[in-house]
Amino acid sequence: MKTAVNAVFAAGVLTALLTGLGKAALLPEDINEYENRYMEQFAPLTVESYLDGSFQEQAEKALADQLPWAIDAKKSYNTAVSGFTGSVFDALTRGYREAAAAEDARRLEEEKKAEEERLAAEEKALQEAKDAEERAALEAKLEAERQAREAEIRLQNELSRGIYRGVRNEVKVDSTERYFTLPSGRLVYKEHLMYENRFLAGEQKKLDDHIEAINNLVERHPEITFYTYYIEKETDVNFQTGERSGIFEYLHDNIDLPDENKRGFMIDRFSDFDAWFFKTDHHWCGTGSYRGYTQVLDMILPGETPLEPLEYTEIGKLSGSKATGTDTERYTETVGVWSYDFKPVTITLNGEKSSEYGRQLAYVQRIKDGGTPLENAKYGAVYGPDSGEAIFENPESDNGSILILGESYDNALLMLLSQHFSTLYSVDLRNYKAQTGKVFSFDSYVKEHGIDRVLLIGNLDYYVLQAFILK
Amino acid sequence: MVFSSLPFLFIFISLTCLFYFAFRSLKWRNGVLLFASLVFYSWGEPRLVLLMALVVLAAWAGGLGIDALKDRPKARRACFIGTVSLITLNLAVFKYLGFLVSNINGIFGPVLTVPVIELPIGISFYTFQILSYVIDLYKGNVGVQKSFPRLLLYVSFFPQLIAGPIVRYSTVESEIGRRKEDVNEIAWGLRRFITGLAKKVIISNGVARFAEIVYAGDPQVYGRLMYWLAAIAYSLQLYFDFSGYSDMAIGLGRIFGFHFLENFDHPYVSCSITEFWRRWHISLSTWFRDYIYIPLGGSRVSRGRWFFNIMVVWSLTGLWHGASWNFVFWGLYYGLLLVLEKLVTGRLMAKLPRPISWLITMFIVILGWTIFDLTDPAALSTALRTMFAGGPFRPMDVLAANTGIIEGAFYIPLGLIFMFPVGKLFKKIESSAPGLILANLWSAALLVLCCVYMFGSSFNPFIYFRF
Repeated sequence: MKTAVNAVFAAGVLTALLTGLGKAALLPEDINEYENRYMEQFAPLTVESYLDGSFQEQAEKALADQLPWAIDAKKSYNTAVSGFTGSVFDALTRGYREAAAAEDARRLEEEKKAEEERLAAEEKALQEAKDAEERAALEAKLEAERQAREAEIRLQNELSRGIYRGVRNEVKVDSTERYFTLPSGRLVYKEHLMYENRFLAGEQKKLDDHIEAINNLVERHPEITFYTYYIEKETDVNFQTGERSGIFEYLHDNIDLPDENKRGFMIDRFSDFDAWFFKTDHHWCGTGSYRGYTQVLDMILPGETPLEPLEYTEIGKLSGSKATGTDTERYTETVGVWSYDFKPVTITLNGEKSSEYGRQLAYVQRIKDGGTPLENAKYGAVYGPDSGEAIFENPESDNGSILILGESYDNALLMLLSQHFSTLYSVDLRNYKAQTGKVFSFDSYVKEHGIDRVLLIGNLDYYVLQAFILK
Repeated sequence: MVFSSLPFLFIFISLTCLFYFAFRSLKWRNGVLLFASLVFYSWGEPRLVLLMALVVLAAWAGGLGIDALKDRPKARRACFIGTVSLITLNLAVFKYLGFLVSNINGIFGPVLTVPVIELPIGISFYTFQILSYVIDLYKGNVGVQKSFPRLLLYVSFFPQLIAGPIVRYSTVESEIGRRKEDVNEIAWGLRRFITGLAKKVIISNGVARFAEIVYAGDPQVYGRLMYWLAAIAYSLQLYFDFSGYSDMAIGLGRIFGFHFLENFDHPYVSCSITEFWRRWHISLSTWFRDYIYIPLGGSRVSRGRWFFNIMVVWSLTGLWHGASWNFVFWGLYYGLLLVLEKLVTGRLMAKLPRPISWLITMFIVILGWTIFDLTDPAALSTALRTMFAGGPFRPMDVLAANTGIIEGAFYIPLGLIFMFPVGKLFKKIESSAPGLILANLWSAALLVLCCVYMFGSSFNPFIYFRF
């Protein structure tokens, strides 16, 4: 009996291992849907590949992908670990976070009270002024204070339009909350996954290369009006300490363009960042990108009326780029889009006509038709992909053409901006050659398309990566 | 190749078993094992497999010489010394030359170029195995192995090649030429292998994460409590990793009909340092006892000479673990403690209640592992300072630094439970047929769980790269 039991056990284990190997080696699959990438395959066994270790390395990777239930096992492991660590983390930090929230509320209340007391004191002083001289002095003081407040309002107004003239707000540390570091190195601040801060000192060399390239371009093409737009994100601001990266200011000070032509999407406090960016993805959300759109439009076509957002529709869930490889199961959020009254435009993506750029309209329609919300929406799928070249032709506009050189952040703006230009050309230098089969030449491109306005738009990566340098 | 990897499970061991049991003749089966062992070693060290073969060749030729020169003692002795020197020189060059030159440069300035030599994995293990063959042959404790492939199989046999135990030739001498595999033994071996795999993949890797996070972080943040917990976590990591590998080696050996001696006997239940070293890495301590300590005279000498013998053995034990001063200090630390225990503290410890003597022993062992772990003197000094004079526990700072510590902390209680001999309960269950079914089902489930861990986590530290 014992021998039979042991024989079944030993044969069972050996059969399971061999079956796994057989499936992995003989019936390989192509796509790893869980991690949204191609599956690893076994490398050919040669003396060379064995001696340099590449065969062995690839075999390990292939087995991790191709063995039966490997992906399910990985998923289960991640779910279990993130469920456990997440629950413990929540339990351990609950008291701290509640105390932080209470402290934040108390501070806000104090600030409000102080402002009310200031106004009441002004009123009281005016009432109590005994003679005309005293009253005049007091009024002059109050007038000076009023003018200072008006100047402040003007500054705030310009800053809210993305214009920087050497003065900007201090970062408002409006929370006693702190950053927590996940095992992947990603940070968590309140509900947001964050990348670490990147400061000017570490990026300056690469920024200088880009600044030099931009200034050369500006100098070489006086017939073109250039605009730059820098999008600050969480890497530019430390919400816990109030430190800024200094990168936007550095770009502003060194790019040879008028202040009105080099604006920025500036972040002064966490509550703004929270409203403007996804929690789990590195991109700006519908609200943030709309703000970006109004600032860009104000910069290029001052006085032009932007489209108004009509209705906000939740289209499903999103577990974005920052959650990948971190804790996808735990970090998901709902994602919604604003509807706009888009006029029809002709869209050409990499030389091919397309009926849409991004599926935002289709997704909204799907929800309105009673369809199921998306399980895992993607920024690129909603707002439009990173196309090497996208051309939008709007017969109803007579505002001429514009070339936008950017990266994925501008995907969310293209449909909106296309409503204001006869032709909008968008080029993503990372993908241009691969997707169009042509080498991008700025000089030839602007000449060929008669472009007289160029917008350079992006976040820090755009201004430091080699791939975006215009030569 | 390491046991706790997908290629080992799904490519290596499955195919090795398939081909091994496909043959009936022992000669062919040995051939399969030899081929598999060379593939196993070359998987990670494709070129250095030749070095190992050359060292075995030297031992084989030396062995033939020692055997042939039976009637000429002086020549036989010369042959023996020559062979041992050659084998030891190989270890010295590959493992210790860089360390030696660095120290010479440290004393006299940069007079020599520090050689950059790749350390062949498992060199300390296979060198000691080969030495045991040559020494035992010289002493007449084992017979000469005339077949080079068989000697190569003994040394390169994959279960014990890179992480021990140090299997002496006398242990497997007869089984290389005559053994019998039995399905009950195979199943036992499988169960033992899976137990070892779980120790490594689940517990050791789990607690390792904790220690790694703390030592990589800011000591100000972690403070005294977390540094002690990190030291405990590292102690558990070492035990479950090393004893897990030994379990896997013993289990794999049994699958192919070999009976290796036990290497760990629940060392963390020890109530004295002497007891601890009777239970920890038994094959290494007995090797040093039989081949260094006793030939030096052991304890049957003057007190001064005995002290010298102990210190020599323990500094060599330390050096065996790695070419770095912290290992020497670690060895001397144990040498001194053992001397003290023999002379003074042993009698005092024996009078204490067992829980107290256990706590004292564990304190010493954990402190020892901290010295062992941190090769960088600055890191070691910081760790010791923080353990004894660090700041208080600040949980929010700890979480802010790395929330991964939560996962690591989960495995510490598991390790603390399974370091005691709870597995013996399972052994009793296996004696009945229903119990055996249960044990096999448990092992199968454990294997599946290990696979889930291997798929899910890429964190799989390999601590034998220095050995």
